[in-house]
Amino acid sequence: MKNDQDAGAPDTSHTDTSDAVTSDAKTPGFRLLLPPDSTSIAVARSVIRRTVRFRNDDSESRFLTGFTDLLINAIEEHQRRGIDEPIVVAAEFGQASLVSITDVGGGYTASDADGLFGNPARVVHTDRMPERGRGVAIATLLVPGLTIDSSDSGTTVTLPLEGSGVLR
Amino acid sequence: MSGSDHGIVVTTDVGGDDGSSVEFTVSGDFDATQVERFEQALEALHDDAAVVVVDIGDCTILDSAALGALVSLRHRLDVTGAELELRAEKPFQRLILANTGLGDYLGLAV
Repeated sequence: MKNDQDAGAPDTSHTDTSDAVTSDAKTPGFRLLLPPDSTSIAVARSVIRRTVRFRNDDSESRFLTGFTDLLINAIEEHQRRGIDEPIVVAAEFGQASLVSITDVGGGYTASDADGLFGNPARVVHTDRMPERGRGVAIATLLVPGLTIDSSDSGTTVTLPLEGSGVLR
Repeated sequence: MSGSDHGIVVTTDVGGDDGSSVEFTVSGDFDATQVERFEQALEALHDDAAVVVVDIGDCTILDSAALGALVSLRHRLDVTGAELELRAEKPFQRLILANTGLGDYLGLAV
C-alpha cells in the first residue's frame, strides 16, 4: 500500500485511487472508480485482499462472496441501463471499518431477496432465478450488518468488516 | 489464502471401468465470470455417465451465478438420470447451500 489513502491498484486503467477516500480525510482507506464490466470484479477483490487481513480463510470467503454478488449486481444494473459512469468501491478503516459499493442505477432494496430462502422450491426449479435478489440474499446471509441505501438515483451497499477482518 | 483472482481451475477425472463416473474438481474464485469456464469443462461429460461428482471444496468464492451453474448441471443430469454428488466442505459453502435449500437438491455429501 503506497500510503494510508491509496491501497494501490493492480490495473490503473481501471481504477483511480488518487482521490481521498472517505468523509474523514484522516481515515485510512481507498476509493476505486471501476468501469461497469466484469473485469472490475477481480480488480476490486484483489485490492481488498491486499488491504484487509481477514480473521481466517472462511471469513475472507464469506465477505468476498457477498461482495462479489453485490458488485455484479451494480455492474449489471449499469449495463442494463446503458450507464457508462464508474461504480465506486470504497473502504474505510477507522472506527467503523467497512467496504461500500455505489452505483447510479435505478435502486433496489433488500426486499428484492424476499422469499428466496423461505421457499427453496423457487430456487431449485427456476433456471434463471431473479439474479439481483438472489445475490442480495446471499450477501445478507454472509455479511452480517450489511446495509442498503437505495433511491431512484442509485444505491450504496455497505458491508461492515467488523468481525471479519482488519486493515493490514 | 488461496484465492488468486485468476479464475477457477477445473480438473476432470473419468473413473469406473466403463467411464461411468466423472469427477470435476473446481478450485479458485468461482463467480459469474467463471461460469463459462466451468461449463466448458462439463463438455467432457457424456450422457451415459451414471455418477457425476463435483468437488468445490477448494473454491474460495461461490457466488449466486456459480450456484446457478450447479443448478443447471443438476437439471441436465435430471434428464439423463445420472446421480450428482457435490463435495463442499468449507463452512461458508455449507452455509450458503443450507440456507438456499440447494444442498439436498445438488446432492451435497454429508
